Amino acid sequence: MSENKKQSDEAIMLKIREDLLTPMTKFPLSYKIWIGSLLTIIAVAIWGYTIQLQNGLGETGMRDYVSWGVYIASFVFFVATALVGMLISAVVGLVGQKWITPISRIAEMIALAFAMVAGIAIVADMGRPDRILNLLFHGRFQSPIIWDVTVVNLYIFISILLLFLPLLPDLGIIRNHMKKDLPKWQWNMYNILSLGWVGTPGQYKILHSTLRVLLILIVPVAMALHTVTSWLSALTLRAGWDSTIFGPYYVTGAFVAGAGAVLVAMYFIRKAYRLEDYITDFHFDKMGKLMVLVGLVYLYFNINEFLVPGYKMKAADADHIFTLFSLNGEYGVMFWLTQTFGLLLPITLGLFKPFRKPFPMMLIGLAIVIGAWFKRVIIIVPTMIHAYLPIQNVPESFHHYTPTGLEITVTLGIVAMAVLIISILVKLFPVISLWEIAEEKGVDIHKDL
Amino acid sequence: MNKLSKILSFVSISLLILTNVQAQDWNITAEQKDMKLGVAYTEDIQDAGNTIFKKSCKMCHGDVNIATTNDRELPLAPNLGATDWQGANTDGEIFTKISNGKGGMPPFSGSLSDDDRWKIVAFIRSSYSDYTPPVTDATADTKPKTPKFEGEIKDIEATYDDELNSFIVRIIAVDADGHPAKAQGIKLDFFVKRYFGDMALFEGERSNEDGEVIIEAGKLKADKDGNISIIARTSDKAITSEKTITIGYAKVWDNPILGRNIWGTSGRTPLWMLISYLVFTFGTLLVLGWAAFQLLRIHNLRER
Amino acid sequence: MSKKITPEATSRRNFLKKFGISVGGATAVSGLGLLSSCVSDDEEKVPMLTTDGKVINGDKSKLKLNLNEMQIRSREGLSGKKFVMVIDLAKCKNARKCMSACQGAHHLKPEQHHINVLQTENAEGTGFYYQPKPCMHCDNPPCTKVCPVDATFKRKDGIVLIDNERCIGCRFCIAACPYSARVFNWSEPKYYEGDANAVYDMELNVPQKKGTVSKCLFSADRLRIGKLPYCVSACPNGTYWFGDANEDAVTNGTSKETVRLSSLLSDNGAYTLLPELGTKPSVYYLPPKDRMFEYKEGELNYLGEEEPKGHHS
Repeated sequence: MSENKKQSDEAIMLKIREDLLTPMTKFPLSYKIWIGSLLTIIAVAIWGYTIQLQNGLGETGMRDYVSWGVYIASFVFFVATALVGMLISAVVGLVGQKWITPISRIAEMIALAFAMVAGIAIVADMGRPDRILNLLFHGRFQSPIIWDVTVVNLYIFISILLLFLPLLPDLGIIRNHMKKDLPKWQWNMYNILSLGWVGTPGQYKILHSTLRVLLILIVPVAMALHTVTSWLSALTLRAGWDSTIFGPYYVTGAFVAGAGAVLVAMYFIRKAYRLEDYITDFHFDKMGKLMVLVGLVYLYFNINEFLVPGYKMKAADADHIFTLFSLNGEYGVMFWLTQTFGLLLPITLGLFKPFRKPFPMMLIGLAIVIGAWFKRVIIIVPTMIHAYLPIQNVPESFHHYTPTGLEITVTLGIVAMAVLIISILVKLFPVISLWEIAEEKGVDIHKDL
Repeated sequence: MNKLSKILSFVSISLLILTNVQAQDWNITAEQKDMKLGVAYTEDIQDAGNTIFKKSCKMCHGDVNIATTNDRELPLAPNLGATDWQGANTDGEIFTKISNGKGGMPPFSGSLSDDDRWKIVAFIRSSYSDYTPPVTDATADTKPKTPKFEGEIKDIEATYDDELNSFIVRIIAVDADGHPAKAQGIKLDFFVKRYFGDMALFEGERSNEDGEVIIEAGKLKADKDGNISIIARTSDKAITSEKTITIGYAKVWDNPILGRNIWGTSGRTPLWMLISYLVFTFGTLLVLGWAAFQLLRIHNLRER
Repeated sequence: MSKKITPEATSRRNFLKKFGISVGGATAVSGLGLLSSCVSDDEEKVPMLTTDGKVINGDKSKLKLNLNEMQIRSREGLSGKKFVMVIDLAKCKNARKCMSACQGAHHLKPEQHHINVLQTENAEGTGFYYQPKPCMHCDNPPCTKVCPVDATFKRKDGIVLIDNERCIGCRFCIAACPYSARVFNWSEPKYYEGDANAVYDMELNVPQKKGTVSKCLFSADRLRIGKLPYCVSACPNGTYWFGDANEDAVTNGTSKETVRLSSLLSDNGAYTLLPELGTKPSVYYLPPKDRMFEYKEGELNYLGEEEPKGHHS
């Protein structure tokens, strides 16, 4: 190797380290306020949850007919968003799209955070969280809940590995170069986590082959995860849930939600860490196009999901369709707002290049994420309002569902927890893979960087 | 305030129900009261009346048991065998009450014909010894078709005939001279014992000239050993015979709970489902374990 | 508030009623000497009812064994039985004795219905009638399919039960049931203070527990002793027939008359609720033809408190 090349490699690596590792050592006031407010929300939510624990789920707006509410809707939303890890890393990555490199770790972090809090949402919804171990002791293999619990955990494990494996070379770099910039415990942690990475070709070989296997494995597991989640609804006999396309409907919906979440995260991380050189307008443009693509697929499933029963108008389906489609229906306004701002507008605007700039993309992403949450409410709640038999001899509150303040607080707390996990992850680890960027820039990475 | 209004509404509704049941009047005109029994007072008619009574009246009024006064309380309807009630009501009154109903009792003028309602009156009257039927042209028929059995009934015997798929209930009796005799025209009841009560195959059926009643078993279900428990008795309950008869073959009830079902307990998971679950879960875990092992290999390569 | 049944009396009664039956078994076990060593500490005596109706003083510790024993017995069910109910819609006049008897027996709040008398009509203009709606105890039950912990299950006598000692409160079964037959204890159940010491009887689902599901049990505790369910025997109008399909016999709750199930069903053109869903209910309806009572609009409706709020007032 020529001396020239070596020097230029060193220079490139120095800049990369400077750009990507420096934010890890800085704790500006804004970050502290951010973490502080997230912790406050979580604390309030925990307080709310203890009230719920004490007095029972009667503290929520759920009752015997609408017995699932925003907790389950949020659970579905979290699982949906978590699927982005698979979309970005596996589907896009495996087909050889190189532009994904600076985004894939952000996507993995989002995936891990949301998959982890999905479980919390389920626990919040349980009437007897103290008996959660019954799932282990008395688990019933025929129940979709058992499948869901299993597959959520598998997905979390894979997500951890998919986040951790590509981190190894970066951890090696941190270990080599950051000893004096970091507190002792933190450096020790990186030292241990780096598993003695020195960048030998042998290590890279193992890394690449393992990554490849995991990227393939995550596809069926992620599909199973969200398909099984959709089956929580689709395996019942209720109008609005009793659908054969619920699996793909959920999976494609998840891609949209995930794309939105990545757009938002990209924008704010880039801004906070000044990563304009790494996450460029080009990446927003590409992500925008990807969003339009998955959005169109989701739109296609939406049309199927609503047009087919709407054409036939079977009695129970007709009630459901009316509730959603008519502005006089109980969920008509929410439905059209959600579909417009969460799907139709993002697709339409995303077709035009000026809207695929960072700021508009962030706004669109935000609309998609909020819309995605409301869409889950629309999937879960209105169906339960229509029982097959008349709802009689119960108080007025049983006929409708309005989440209580406590319920919303707890839900926000869980969202805050997901955001907190992401915020901590992006502070603890480089948000962009150093060695992959270096490799793209032609640096010889088969050595101890 | 809110609670008070609820209590008030509860009280008023309760009152409404009570008044509905009790305070309303029968409103019977003198003309209706004077109506004469519209059917002949014969045993056949009374039996026919009994059949209708069982279908339309029994579920509220229960059996007509002879008693001096009504011995039942709401929500059960009164015992129509109460002699004070029988004495206080004319045939016309009873007929009108059946026709028009009151409060909790529905009017039967729509669902039962005049004739049927009179037959019920005739049946009710058969439990009232002081009753004198009106004199009509049909009086000649009031005599029973068969002469009254004069001997003594000793026992009842019930058997099952495989070929006829029928039960034969036979009266064992002696005549006035003490010789075995065939008791004709005796009313008999026959029940099959069931978990919550005795199921009548017939009630008040008269024995034929052989002193027997034959009833087809139909597709009567036996227990899993092929047995059924029966009760045969005379309708006056003087003699009762209870026994267990074998009528079928022992059969194993096909209980769906024993199969593997999606709705079954976890121990009865369908095999394809269990295997799919295990293969998917442990297959994934295996790959994850392999990946973790690769981490170890990377770690082992740290020294050159 | 106004008419609170004294919880002490209720729980005591239930306690005796439920535990009495299995005292015999417990004594037999301790007689084997298996437990004689471990029960010595807990010498507290409590009244129990023996099988022949005598009240004796027994070790409280034996009752703990009985809970386990009763759980096993309750999950097993009665041998050779297949319980069915037939509801004659022509007879129902909305007296609601079934509902109150049921709510009393199972310690339910006014808005919790194991059985609910609905006012319904088959199609527009075909006339309203009263339709009592218990759990259908389906032979293809959508609810037991989805339970993640075997808390709800179907017994060999066809009854679908719920074990509120195991239920995790996920409410998947409520979502799955197309008949809306299940209720949830959103807050502390009625009489929860009085029931605090009562040992759980799965066949009665008393004491009810906060955060668990409850449902119609066909009064499995009554069936065990050969009695008709609470609702069936409370009906003043002869609406209910109840019996064993294996015996092909059903008994009327009011007149106590027993008839052939097959004839009753075929003679009256019986039907089941929402048969198109393939749930195979064990509850049959006889059509509301020749109704005995007129339908009155806006009759009795919910009389309970507005909100099942306030765990204990």
